[in-house]
Amino acid sequence: MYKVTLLLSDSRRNFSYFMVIMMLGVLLWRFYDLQVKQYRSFLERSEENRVRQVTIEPPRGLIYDRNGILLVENRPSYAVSVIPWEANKSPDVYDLLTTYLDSDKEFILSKVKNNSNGKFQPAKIKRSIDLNTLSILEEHSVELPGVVYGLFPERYYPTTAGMSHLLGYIREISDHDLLKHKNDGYNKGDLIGWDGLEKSYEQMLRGVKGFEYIQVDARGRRIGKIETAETTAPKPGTDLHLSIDLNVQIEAERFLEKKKGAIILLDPNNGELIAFASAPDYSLDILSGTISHQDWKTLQNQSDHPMFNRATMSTYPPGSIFKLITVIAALESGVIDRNWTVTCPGYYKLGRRVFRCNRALGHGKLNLEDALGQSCNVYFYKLMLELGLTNWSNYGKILGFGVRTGIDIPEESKGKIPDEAFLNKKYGAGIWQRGHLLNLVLGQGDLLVTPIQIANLMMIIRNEGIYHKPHIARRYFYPSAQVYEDIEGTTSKIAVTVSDTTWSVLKAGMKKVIEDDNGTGRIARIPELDIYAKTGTAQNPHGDDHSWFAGYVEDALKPLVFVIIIENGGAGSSTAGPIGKALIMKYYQTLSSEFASIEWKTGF
Amino acid sequence: MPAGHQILSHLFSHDWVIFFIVLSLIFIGIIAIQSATVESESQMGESNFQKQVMWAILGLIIYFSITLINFKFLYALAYFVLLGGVFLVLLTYIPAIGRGASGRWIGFGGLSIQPSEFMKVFLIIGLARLLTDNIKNLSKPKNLILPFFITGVVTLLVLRQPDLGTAMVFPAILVPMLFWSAVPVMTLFLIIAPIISLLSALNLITFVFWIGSILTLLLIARKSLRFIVLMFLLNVSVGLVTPMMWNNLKPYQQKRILTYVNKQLDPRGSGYQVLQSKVAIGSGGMYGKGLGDGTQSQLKFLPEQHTDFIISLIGEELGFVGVSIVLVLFLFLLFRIINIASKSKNLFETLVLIGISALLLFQIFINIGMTTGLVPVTGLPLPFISYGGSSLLSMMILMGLVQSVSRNI
Repeated sequence: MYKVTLLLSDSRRNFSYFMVIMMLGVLLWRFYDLQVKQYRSFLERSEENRVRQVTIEPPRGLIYDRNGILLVENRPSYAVSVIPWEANKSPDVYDLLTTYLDSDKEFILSKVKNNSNGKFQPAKIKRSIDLNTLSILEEHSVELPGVVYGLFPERYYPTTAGMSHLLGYIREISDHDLLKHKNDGYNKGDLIGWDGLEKSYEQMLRGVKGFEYIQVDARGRRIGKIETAETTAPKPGTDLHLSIDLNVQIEAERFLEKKKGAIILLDPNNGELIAFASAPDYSLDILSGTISHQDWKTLQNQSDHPMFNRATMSTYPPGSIFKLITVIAALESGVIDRNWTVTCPGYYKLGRRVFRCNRALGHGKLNLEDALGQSCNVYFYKLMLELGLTNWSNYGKILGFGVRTGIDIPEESKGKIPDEAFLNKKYGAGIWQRGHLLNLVLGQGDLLVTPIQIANLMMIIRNEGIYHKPHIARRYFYPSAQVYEDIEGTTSKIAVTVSDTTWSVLKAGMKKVIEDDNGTGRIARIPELDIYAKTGTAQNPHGDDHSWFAGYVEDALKPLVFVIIIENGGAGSSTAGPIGKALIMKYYQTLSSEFASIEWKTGF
Repeated sequence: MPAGHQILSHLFSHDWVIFFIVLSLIFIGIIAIQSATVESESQMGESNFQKQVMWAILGLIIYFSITLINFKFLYALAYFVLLGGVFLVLLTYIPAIGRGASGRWIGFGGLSIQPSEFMKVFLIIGLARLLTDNIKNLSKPKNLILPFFITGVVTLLVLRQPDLGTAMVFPAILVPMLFWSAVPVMTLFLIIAPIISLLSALNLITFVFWIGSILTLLLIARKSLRFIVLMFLLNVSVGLVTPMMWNNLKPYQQKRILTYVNKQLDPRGSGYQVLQSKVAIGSGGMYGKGLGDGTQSQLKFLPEQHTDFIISLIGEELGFVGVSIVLVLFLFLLFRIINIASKSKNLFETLVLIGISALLLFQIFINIGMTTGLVPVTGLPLPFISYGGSSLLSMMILMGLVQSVSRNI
């Protein structure tokens, strides 16, 4: 059947040609009619009757503290944009703008270039325009074709707290981020979270842009909204509720005034941060509007690094706090038992070098708990030599050092826990051996930790191996649906099982830091509270010793992990200790009903 | 599989004119899609351009593979192909597989296809075999029932999706294929007549003129009086009764029917879309405003500017010269295919090629007609140019078939 042929007449083919010519001819005639004969009238219409897509910015999610106090909100602000295609028609638009905005022509031109999403789309040139400037622009709108302005939500911080490192700020998106988020609907000139929570929770906070279509005349002025075109309402961003307690946070920041350092208060039951401060800080208010590149550079290059979040990014030698790691490693690897004693004469001789103890006259005969309580260096020199580097650094890694804690703040350092390979590489095999060990056991030398890692360690000790990923955001609130959603935390267990004995020895030692009359943290004693702590005084190449005080308060209802580091603050016992004490007092005193029954006798 | 030297001779017998015309059309399409989406507010635009380039590359691979197909083989499988196509379209009715708001799509994993686009290919092949097998009997009208029935079923299936634009394509393919199957012109005329009666009934003068023409024609053809009266009554009643019935419907019923068969009809009747499209095309003038400079297209008042309304962007930015080039390319392509069809010694091949030509011409006419306000907006892509993978791939399959025939003539 396949081989059927048909006598074909040319007429059939010619008729088909004819149909093709006819139908395509009709179309060609139609184009001729529209584009040549009616060209003038359509051109006029196209110029008079222009449609513009306008972006409606969504309000960014609000941020609240744990008691529902508003920390970050939005307030309306005007931003001026230029539509290059229209502005280019009139040569002096940019000169006029320079005058009216009291700006720099180069700056405006560079903004137009950098924030341009195409010549028909508005490029933002200046945010936070005051009403005075706005009315000037309005008055001169005829001379300023292609200059448009619109309302944009701007960040506003109603509280007295700084919280700059914690909250972060928003800035115009960089080319790098634009590429990274190329499917997330960002445009040049859009704002994006650059630091802190604003960055970590960017996708929740930002909301979804809306669009409307407006009709504009030949001068680019709005005639009206186009009802037939689709309008999409913006979707407001998701609100964040934090675990931070604003009142405690303000106190923490107050204690850091005119100092350099960090304070972390954390709930060991769930990893929630109650206070999180780093000093010096910077004012978020100056970053809420348009900060000039120059100002930003200045801020970044300031010698005391105010932009730097010391609580997560600075790596410090931990000082004697790291003796806790040595204790765990020594007991767990069976090098010693809890009854191991050392007699401290006030110094330790290794070959020809003399290593000093923190008490020149010596501690006498000490057991493990007392050695921890009085932070006896000689005890730990000897212990470290028994223990060896590998055991020590292994336990350091197991207890969370050398890795990021995963806190929901984007910038975090790993710190450094030296192991044999590292020291071999740095100093050469066999050269570093014993002297370096004695420095490391004091938490100095190549050992570097972040304050948040120390907080994590205290949580691990208090919970006997269990820890929760430190976090600041507790739950979302979806404004459109009016519902809350808890942010799931992560709970983990350290990689090895540590015996109950080890934990209890450790805790007993940390108790003695506070309660023993020779305890290095006795200054922070609060009779009403059950405090476990360790002080640290870390020598460092940048001047006076760093002062550490870290530990936890045991309480059935409200346990609290605290970490205080004051850069170049001297001895841990004399600087960080009193701050810790005052802050702990403040925290428990401000806590509502549950703690009203405590009769506070302790004064500051 | 052909050996190496066969592939080589195959390349020499390739109709490179068709190949370059198709390539030029795809290229114009990609340029226009790039222009339509480069200024896009959402960054999605860029990926539309990239996707279309990807579809074009995939299309070319499929095109060259299809050229290897032997028509004998295709003939043997024709009915299976047709049934398979119907099956695919039926899949869109299964909620778990059907995708998209309008239910035209089916999805396999990450890939979504529009079976109605491929149904065009399958119906052409199926009908070509049916007509070839029955070629001796087609002069009797009762033997036309089966091809009309099959086309009708496919049309209804796609219409119910609902996709009026694509559904109309199927009858438009059938009639020219019947014409080339030597079905008497009078029979075809009488089949099409009621449709024209319905359309002409919109205006009394054209309607009277049309009915008069039918009568004159039938009288010249010396048909029996009974037959003439029957035809007269049929056409008059279609032309008069249908609008009357329509007018008797309540507005909301009319709207429901309209929106049912045609989702794209403007419910306000203001013709906003078409008006804006005409302004865009008209303001392009002779030479256009230049790529990327079309104020009307770039400002995105047309939601479908990279798909169904792409010619309005070409009209605005490349002007009358630009659209003329597109039309001339289409003209040469159609002439070339019809010429190959007429030269083929094999009816099956001829009919497949005629089906393809009819499909192309109809889609070009309806698409450009709707963007210029000549016909109502229904939603059909412009072959090779509009954005869309299914449309481009089905067109490339058809062009592969054309090449396969051109090799043997």
